[in-house]
Amino acid sequence: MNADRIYDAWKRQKQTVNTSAGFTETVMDQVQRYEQQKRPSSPRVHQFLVRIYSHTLTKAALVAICALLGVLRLVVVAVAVLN
Amino acid sequence: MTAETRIITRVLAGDVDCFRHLVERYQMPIIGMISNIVADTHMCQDLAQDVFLTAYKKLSSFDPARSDFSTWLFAIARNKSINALKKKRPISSPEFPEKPDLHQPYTTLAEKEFFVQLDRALADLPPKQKAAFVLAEFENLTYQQIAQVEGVRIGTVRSRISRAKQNLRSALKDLAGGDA
Repeated sequence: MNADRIYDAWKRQKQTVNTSAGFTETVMDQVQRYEQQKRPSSPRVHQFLVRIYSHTLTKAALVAICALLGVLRLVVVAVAVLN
Repeated sequence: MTAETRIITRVLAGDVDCFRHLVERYQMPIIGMISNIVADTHMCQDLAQDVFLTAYKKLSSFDPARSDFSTWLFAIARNKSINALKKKRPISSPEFPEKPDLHQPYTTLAEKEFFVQLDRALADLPPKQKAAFVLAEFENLTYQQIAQVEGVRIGTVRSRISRAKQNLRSALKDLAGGDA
């Protein structure tokens, strides 16, 4: 019996792969579970953030409030320095 | 930008379901590699799932400038397989039939005996030698790619594979009575 022929036949057999039908789904379930664990924020906080990000006016208002707070801080610091 | 890099970019941007494409594309070579290293079909599926989950978790650390995605994935699979082998070794032996099926025709029977012997010789290889051999012979990776997967020089890969082949050759000769 030829050793090379046997070796090649064995190699072909070892290259044959059996995968279970639901392999991809099992992996994707694990990935989704991992993602859920990664985000522990409460649904209310999540809803609030989504609401803010989805409205242009809300976003503009937030930016305006932050700018106003910045200006107020500057004024407070300036007054403190002058006194 | 390759199709794979595009998929990875999308996954990292939050499109989790896009990771499915990578699982579908690489499940066969990864399962094949793991099953040839650990020689345990039950453990193999669990390990392969773990490889993809780890890849997902560490996806942001993948650098396309340093290696191909496949090489990076094989490196994860190789490390997990070797760790599993180290844990498993003293407890159980690989799943090979003790005797070939006697209902097979003569030539197939003889061939099966050789296969069992080769499987045993493969299982008995040291883990690092076995991983290098499996990647080269069954997954058809180049020595350069194997060196990247294993984090060693090409010379080391070459010597590991050469020693593995010598071991297998002698196992085949033993069974053939020296005329193989």
